[in-house]
Amino acid sequence: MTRGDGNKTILLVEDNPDDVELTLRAFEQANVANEVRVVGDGAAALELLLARGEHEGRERGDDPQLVLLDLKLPRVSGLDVLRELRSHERTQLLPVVVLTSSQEERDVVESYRLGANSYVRKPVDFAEFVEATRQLGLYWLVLNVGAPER
Amino acid sequence: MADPLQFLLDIAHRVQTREELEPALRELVEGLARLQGWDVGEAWVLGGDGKTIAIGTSWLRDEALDAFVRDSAGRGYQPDRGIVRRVWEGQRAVWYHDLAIVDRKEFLRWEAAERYGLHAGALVPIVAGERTLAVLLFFATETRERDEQALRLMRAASAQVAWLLERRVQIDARHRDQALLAASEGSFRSLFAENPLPMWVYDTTTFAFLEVNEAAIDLYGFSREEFLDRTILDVRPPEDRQALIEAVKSERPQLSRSGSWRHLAADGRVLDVDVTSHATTFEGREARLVVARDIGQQLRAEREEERQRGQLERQAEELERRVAERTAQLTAVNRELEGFTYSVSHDLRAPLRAIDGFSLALLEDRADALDERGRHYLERVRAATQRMGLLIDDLLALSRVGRVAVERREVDLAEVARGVLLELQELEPERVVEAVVPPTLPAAADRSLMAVLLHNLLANAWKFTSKTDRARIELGAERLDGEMAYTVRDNGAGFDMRYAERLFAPFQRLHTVDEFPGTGVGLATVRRIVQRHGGRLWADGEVGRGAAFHFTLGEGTP
Repeated sequence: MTRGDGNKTILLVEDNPDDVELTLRAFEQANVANEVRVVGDGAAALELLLARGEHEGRERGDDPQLVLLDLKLPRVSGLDVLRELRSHERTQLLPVVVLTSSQEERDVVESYRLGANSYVRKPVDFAEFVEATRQLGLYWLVLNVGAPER
Repeated sequence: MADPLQFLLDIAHRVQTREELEPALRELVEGLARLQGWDVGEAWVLGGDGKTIAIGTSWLRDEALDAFVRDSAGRGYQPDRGIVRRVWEGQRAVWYHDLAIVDRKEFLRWEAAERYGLHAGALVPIVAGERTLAVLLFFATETRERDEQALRLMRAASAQVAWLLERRVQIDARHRDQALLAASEGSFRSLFAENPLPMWVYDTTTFAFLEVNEAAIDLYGFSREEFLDRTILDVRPPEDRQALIEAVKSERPQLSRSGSWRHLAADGRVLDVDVTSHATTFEGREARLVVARDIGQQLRAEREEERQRGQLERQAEELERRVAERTAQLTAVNRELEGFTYSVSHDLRAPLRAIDGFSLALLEDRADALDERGRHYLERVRAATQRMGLLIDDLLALSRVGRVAVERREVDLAEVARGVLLELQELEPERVVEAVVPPTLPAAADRSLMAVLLHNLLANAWKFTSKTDRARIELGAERLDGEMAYTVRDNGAGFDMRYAERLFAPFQRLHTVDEFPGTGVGLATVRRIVQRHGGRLWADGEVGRGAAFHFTLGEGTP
């Protein structure tokens, strides 16, 4: 069992509904029971995480514990989201896993350079994806000791 | 004897009225000979050569004596001796009462004188200033005592003639000088008139042309009269005239170059000329002699050269621009291609994941709604989806091989090969394959591309020996036509040489997927890597007896 802490929420930044549904299914199958919030574009992700716009005034205690970030997103791209997150004190240390179809070297390098904690390529084989998701959840939500809240 | 004074007046008159020297001397010689009773009279003068002395004129009382003069005249003078010579140089008159007593070495005509019975003789020099102009000689058939009075008359008459001769010589000299002057003036004139360079003389006060030469008339197209009607300002473009006036004012008198000017020809053409001038006086006027050299052709040649150089430069620029343009186009195409492969990796894979994921979801969640056949079909859908995923990945690898920069450095292919074989062995630990790899195999190539290349070739060999007993994979090299050829050889399934050409085209396979799985992109990737290194790739094989892939890596390979 790799059930994580129920209080820890995951933010999935993904615009493709197929991928959203399959990812949620993969979490379910991997027994990751944390709440998963989904936003469909980079701008929405930034508003939520930086408590701007409709999210203004959101308590820090409500912050997601893990962000799964696609790179190819409408409006603000995944890499720009990552860059923005790392430049704010509130989200500087937030674990961000880049979850994408691309295994272009420049994407991998750029992601790590901008401060991604992990880079996972979504495999075509769904069984493999379930396995990857399981390991992600286990590591980031159970094993990993996050930075102390200040 | 007639009155000597009358004689002198008479002779002076006659001499003065003679225009020519010869008749004047003749008058003198004849007058003196007749007056003083001489039988032969001669006047010796400087010859045409200016050195020897010869008889200029003679008078004879008796025609019979003509023979004496004729016979002996040639003998009368020697450059170093003789009585004529002595008188010429001594400038003193000499009287012989009888020539027979004179030393025969001195009196060169003694033989003729003896034959014609001449005895007495008198020699008188005609001297003007320092110069002896002539020597008068008189002979008589009888002996005669020295007669001072006769000598005085001779001297006086000689002085008359000396004056005449002097004047004559001066006149001659003046004539000669004038002739010379005329001649030299003529040649200098022709230097001007016939000079191939355009020349003219202008008045520095009025700027009027005073004289022009043929070359100027020829170049400018004005007639001589038209020129002389004009000033030098008329042959300039109006905008240059002020500058010309300034230039003339500041002109130095000596020879000076006033540089390049634009002149106007009669037909309005603009001539480019290089002007040199010198101050002079011409017919009493302050003037300048000008030589104008037409440098139009030179300038045109320079301009043409300049134009051609400019054209070349423009062509070079155009070429550079086009190269830059093409490079930009190529870069754009590459970027587009890169964008395309990026999209392929992102966008094509996403639906594949959906197909596979939802197929699996069906199998897992709705298995009861499907029969055996239905589940089989879904498995086939998943297999096809995953195969397409592999194809996309391989295509991306192939495109990446084409895009990355080749960094050539020393690579040990043997070491790379051992690493690849180890990976393959780990993936299929049950396989027993004999791998023959030399201790080292140096090459100058891109290390990461060599890793991809060897991975493809060795994985191929690994795959195609999967149904072979005692499988064997060998890496080797040999020098071929001066370059290293590397070989990956196996004893596996091999191939039909008839299809060898199709081996390296993408998606071309010589085996079914069921026999040996694969996408058919691996060897295309190998070929691309070899091409990127400037090398060659070829294969030989035989069905059931293995295959060998050979490649070279272009320049820089040890």
